[in-house]
Amino acid sequence: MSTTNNDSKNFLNSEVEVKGTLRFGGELTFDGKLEGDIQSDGTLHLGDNAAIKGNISANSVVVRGKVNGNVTAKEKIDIKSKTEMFGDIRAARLVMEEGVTFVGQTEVNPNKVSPAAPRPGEPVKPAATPKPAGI
Amino acid sequence: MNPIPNPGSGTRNVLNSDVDIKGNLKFAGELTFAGHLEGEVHSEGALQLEDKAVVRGNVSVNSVVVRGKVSGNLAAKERIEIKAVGEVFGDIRAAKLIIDEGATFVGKCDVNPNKTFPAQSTPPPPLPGGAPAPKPPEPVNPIKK
Repeated sequence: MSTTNNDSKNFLNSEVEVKGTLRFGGELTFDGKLEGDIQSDGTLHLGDNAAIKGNISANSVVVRGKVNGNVTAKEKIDIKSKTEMFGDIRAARLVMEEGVTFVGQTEVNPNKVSPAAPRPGEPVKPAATPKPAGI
Repeated sequence: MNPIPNPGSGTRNVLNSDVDIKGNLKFAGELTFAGHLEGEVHSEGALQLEDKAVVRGNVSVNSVVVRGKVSGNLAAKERIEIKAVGEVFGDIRAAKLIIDEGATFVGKCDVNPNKTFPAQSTPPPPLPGGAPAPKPPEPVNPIKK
């Protein structure tokens, strides 16, 4: 598996094409084409020329370019303006700039709140069983 | 103060946190809402949901800024903004979406101002481990920016 060398900084420029699964530790700036998945516990920066067809899983991701696949981040996903993203998002925190194209599902619930916000004044059943935080 | 009134109607409406509505709400111009609503909001105007606002129902407006809690779908002709304290459980459809760090959003999202499509016209292939599909010529529309 990936090393825990968190200081490493990796770069792949726009003339790079990868087919397959990409793993890295530390940081990766990717501006090329990838057909396949990215898996890391590190930080991924996509460039404006990046084109990904596959799923991304990392600690945090800054999204630019085009992504066709799901993006999962333990910590944070940052979608920059002009990004085209088709796929689902799951992260603790999400930041989206104006001008993004995004079609997909989102699961961003930093405080693990549940949707059923009971109206104040509504009697709360004392014997109500605690619902599992439906994730 | 909002310096840009909605064109066509300059009315500015305010409903504070001591307001409780069951039913549908329509307005023109601008509405700042901090109360509780169980029902729908329909407007061509701009809606501001304040920190204390709780909406259970669908919202369809020209633009909306969410600081409160919404359980329902949000549709905006123009833009939707979810601030850090905002919580949205429902689907979103808008020309523009802005999400601040810390916001809660669980649902589907359709924000596609230029009506672009994924780089391939077919639905996404089963990704992991699958044989990579041959790359079709990209049917990319020229996008006017």
